[in-house]
Amino acid sequence: MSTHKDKILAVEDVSVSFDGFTVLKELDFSIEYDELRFLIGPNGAGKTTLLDIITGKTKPMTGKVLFDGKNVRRLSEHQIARRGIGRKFQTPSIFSTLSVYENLEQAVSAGEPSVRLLGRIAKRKRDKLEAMLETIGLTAARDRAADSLSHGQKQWLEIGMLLVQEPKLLLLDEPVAGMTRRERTRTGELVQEIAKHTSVLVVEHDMEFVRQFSTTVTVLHMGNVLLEGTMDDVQSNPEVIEVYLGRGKPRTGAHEVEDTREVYIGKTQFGDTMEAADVTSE
Amino acid sequence: MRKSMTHWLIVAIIFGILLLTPTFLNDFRINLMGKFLTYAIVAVALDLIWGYGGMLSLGQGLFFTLGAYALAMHLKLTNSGTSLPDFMVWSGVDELPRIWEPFASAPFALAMVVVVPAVMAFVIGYFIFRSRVQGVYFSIITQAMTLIFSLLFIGQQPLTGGTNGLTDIQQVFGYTRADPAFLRGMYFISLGALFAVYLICWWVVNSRFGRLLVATRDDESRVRFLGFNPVVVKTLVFGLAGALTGIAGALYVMQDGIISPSQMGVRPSIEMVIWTAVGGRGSLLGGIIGAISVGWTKSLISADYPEVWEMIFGILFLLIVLFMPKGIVGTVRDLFMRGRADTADIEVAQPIEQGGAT
Repeated sequence: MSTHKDKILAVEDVSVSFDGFTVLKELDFSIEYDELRFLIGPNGAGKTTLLDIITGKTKPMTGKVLFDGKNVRRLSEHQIARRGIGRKFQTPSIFSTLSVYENLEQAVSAGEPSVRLLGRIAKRKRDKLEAMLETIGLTAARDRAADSLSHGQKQWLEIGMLLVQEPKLLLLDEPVAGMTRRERTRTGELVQEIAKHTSVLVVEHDMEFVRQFSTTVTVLHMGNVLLEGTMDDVQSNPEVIEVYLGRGKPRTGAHEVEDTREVYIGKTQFGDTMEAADVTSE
Repeated sequence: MRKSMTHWLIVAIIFGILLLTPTFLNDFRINLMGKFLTYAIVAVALDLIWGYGGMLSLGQGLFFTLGAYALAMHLKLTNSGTSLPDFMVWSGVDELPRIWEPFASAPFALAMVVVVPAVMAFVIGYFIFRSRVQGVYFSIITQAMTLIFSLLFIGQQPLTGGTNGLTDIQQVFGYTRADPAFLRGMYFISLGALFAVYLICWWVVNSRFGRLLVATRDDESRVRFLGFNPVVVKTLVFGLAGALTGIAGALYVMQDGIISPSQMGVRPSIEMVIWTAVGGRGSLLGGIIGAISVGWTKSLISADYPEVWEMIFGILFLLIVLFMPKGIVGTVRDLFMRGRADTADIEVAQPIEQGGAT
C-alpha cells in the first residue's frame, strides 16, 4: 500500500451524481509527482467531471481530493488554482478583448492583492512573461487581440497562461483539439518537456497523439477506472475494445444512453480520430 | 506613446471647453450645466462597471440619492438653526431623531456622502456576486433594490421627509444657494470633481486591475481558474462606482436644493444608463459627453415642448441605440479609424458586442 507522500494528486472514493445520474462511482485515482498521465474513455465516462472535481468546480458527494497531501475538497476554484493546479479547457478559454501580452500579464499576476494590481508589474514577472511569449511562439503577436489568433495559437496562449504560473499539476482537457498535425507534434513535445518538472494530466480523444506521447494511460468508464497501463496494454484489452465499440449490453439503467451510442473508430483499432463531444462537459 | 498623447489632447480639449463654458452662459444655464457635470460623474462611474465590467446596474440612482441625502441632512439641520427641520415639525416630531444627530457635524456628513453609498454598494454587490448572479438578473436585482429603498424612504416620513424628501435648502455652508456667484463656484467645484473622478477611473481601467475587470467580463471562469477571486474584483469596482456616484449626488443637492425619493425610482436610474449608452460604453470620455449632451437636449426640448419631450427623448434614444450602438464616442472613433487604419484607440477596452445585459 503506497502512501500519499509520493502522490501529487489522490482522488479517493469519490462519487458524484447529477439528478440521480451517477457520473463518478467510488472513484480512486492518483498521479505521482512529475508524472505525465493520459486519461481516455468513451463519451460520458466522467473525464471532464473528474477535472471538475479536482479543480473544485464540482463538489463530490463523498470521498477526498488530496492535492500535495492536503484535502482540497472544501476549497473554491480560485483557492485550488492558487495552490498550484492549472487547468486548460476543451475550447480555448482566454480573454478575447485583451491582447496576447495582457492575457499572460493577468496569468502571471494571479494571486496579487487588488491594490498591488493598480501598480506596475514586477520586473521579475515581466521577464517571465516575455520568456513565455517566446516559448509559445507569440512574441510577434503580443499586441494583437487574443480573439484574432488562430485556433491553435489560442490553445497555445492558454497553455502559456498556465505555464507562466508554474503550477504543480497541469490539467489539459483535449489540448490538441482543432490543431494541425504539426501543431499537435509541437504541443506533444511541449507537454513532455513540461512533464519533466511538473505533473501533467492530459484528457485526449486523439488516439494517435496518446500513442505517440504517453507512458501511462488510464481508461475511465462509467465513472470508474477500467484499466491503467501502457497504450499497448490498453489497445489489447478486450474490455476496453468492447467499451469503445459500444455494443455492450446496458449495465445500469442510468448508463443506457452512452452504451447505445455509436463511437466512430478510424482505420486502425484506435483510429486517429475518435469523434468526441463529452456529454458531461459544460 | 502617440496613442496616449492623442488621448490626453482630447481630454485637454474637452475639459478646456468645459472650463470656458460658463463665460458664454447665463446664470440659469450655468446652474443647469453644473448639475449636468454631476450627471457626468455618474455616467463615468457607471461606465466603469458596465462598459468595462459588463455589469449593467439599473440601480445607480440609489447611490446618487444616498450621497445627496447624507449631505442634505446636514444642510437641513444648519438651515433650520436651533429648531427642528420643517418636515419633522409637520410630522409631529418633537425631538431630533438619533440618526440625525451626528449629521450636525459637517465632516461627519461629508464622510457619509462617500461611506454610505460605498458600503451599500459593497454589501449589495458582495451578496449578488458571491451567488454568481450575472447579466440580466444582476440588472433586475439592482433595479429592485433602488425601488425598495425609495419605498422605504417614502414610508419613513418623520425621518426622511417622505415623498417630498428634503426640500428648501437655502443655505449651503454659509452661502446662499441661489446666489449666482455661489452657483458659478459650484460649477467649477463640480468640474474639478469630474476631472478627479475621470483621472481615478482612467487610472483604474488602465492598470492590471482594470484589465482584470475586463478579463472578468470576458471569461469569469477563466479568471477563477487562474487563481483570482472575481467576487473581490467586481465588489470593489461596484463599491468604488457607488462611492463616486454618491459624491455626484452630494454635489447635485448643493446646486438643486431638493432631494426626494423619486430620484431613487426606476426612471432616473435608467436615465443614467442612457447617458452612458449615448456617450459610448467602454469609453470614460463617452460618459461625460453622453451625460452633458443628453441633459442639454432634454432641457432644450422640455422647455419648448413640455408635453411631448419624453416621447421625443425616447425616440432619440432609440435612434441612437439602433444606428449608433457604440454611442457618440464609438461612432466617431470608427469614422476616424476608417480614415487611417493603423491608429490606436482612444482607450483600451473595446465596447462589448454582446456581453453584459442590454
